[in-house]
Amino acid sequence: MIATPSTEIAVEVKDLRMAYGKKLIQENIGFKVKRGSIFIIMGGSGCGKSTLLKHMIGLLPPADGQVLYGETDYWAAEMDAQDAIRRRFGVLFQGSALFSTLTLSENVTMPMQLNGDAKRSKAEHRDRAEELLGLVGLSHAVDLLPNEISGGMKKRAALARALALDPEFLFLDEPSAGLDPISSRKLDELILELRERTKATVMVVTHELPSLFAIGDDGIFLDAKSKQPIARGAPKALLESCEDPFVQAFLKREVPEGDTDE
Amino acid sequence: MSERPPALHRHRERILALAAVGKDALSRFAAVKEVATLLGELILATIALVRGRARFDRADTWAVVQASGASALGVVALVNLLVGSILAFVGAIQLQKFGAEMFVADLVSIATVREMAAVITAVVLSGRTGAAFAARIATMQGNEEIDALKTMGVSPVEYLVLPRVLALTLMTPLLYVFACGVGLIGGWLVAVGTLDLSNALYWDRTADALAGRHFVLGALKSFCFGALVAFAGCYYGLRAGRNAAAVGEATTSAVVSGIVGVIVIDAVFALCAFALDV
Repeated sequence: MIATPSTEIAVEVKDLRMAYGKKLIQENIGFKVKRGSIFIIMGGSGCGKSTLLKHMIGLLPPADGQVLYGETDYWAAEMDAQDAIRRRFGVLFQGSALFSTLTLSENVTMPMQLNGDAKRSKAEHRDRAEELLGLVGLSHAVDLLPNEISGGMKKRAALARALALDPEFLFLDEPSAGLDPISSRKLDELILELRERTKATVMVVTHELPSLFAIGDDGIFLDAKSKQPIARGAPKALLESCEDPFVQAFLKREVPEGDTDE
Repeated sequence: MSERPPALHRHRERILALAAVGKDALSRFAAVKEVATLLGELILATIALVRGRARFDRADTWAVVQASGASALGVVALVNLLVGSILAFVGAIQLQKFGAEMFVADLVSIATVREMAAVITAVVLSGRTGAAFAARIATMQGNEEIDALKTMGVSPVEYLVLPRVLALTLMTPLLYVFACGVGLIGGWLVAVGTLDLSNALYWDRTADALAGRHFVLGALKSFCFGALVAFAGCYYGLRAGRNAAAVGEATTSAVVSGIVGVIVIDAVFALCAFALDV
């Protein structure tokens, strides 16, 4: 069961414009994310979903606009303030981004050590890493290297690493991409369970229909053709009431009328 | 016979050529800016290290030190032994014509200590260690590991570039000293084997020919070469794209830039040494 998110706004994106040099990707992006909710960034391939996520996690400055965490505009803040905000993030990358030379346990321990979690000893870091890996069902794999495990296990290990610093904001880029339906379903359930446990605000980039219907409380739909958002709301609500033919076709997995594949 | 292109067409061609030159100049300027930015970040990271605030993996740093130092001994020894031998062969053939074969030791020792040991070692390190740095960092870039570091609030320059530049900058002068020894032995083997020189005469001439300034010059150069090769490897690794071909491109660029940079720096040192009469 999905918990009711708070009414407090945790993240706000205002008038964001995304571009690579002179090439416009998206503009007029604005939305608010409630604390404790799962917010889905939807849209077809190449519409700029992952780029939007990069603007939100501080990897890529937008062409224009604001990303507000509380009252602080991330991109207008001083470096120290940006660092402080970033320490509240947990990020699961599309390709897992596990450090290939480190074991799963070391991968999970790394953010704790690098962020000077001095309250805990090395042994405590290791215990915490094992606890997190246990939480994602990988207790048996703590000493394995990333190249010794499957794609689904990598995603779960990366999720454990994203949780290492008890994040307030969890960003998941295509968490179920490349997974079989059962692993994908398990990952969705895990995301819901983690949200319950950690009370984190979760932002997910996905175009996997079963996933976005299963976990999304709210969302935004980016359109590659018009280069701006064309729908806002929970995926289920969009399926029921959104009148945009492209959104309807996308959510029903149909080919839109007049689609010439250009 | 082809007609002369109309004036409009020629004008368009000129404009296009000018635009290509402009684009090339802008991209080169952008590259210079990138290099300056990385250099600045590296200096800041070094300051953070001195103040005990740099965040990097010490175990990984030792692994880099070992890979760029001890593990390179074999190939550095082989190449410098052969270069020392080649110098002796070339010198022997020419000097025999004047009955001055005893000066082979002078030629080998000065050429090895002032130039060849430092340059050849740096070229070997560029192909071996600089390429490895570029490949490793470019692969991390493709796997989003660099992005993961950034979201953990860790500077990739502190975590990846600083240990590598430090390791190679410190290891190259040590490898240079080793290369000098091996190069001199290569020259000695050939000189004693092909000419009628005694061991004692060869080593006496070597000791007479060499002075402290030759070693200082060679060590100083190898220090700069090490920093340059490591910097080139890290720079091309960090700016690599995210596709499969990017790793190969980064590696090639790192090696080529490393070798060209080593030769250019060596030329600058040669000019300075000549001007200062060192």
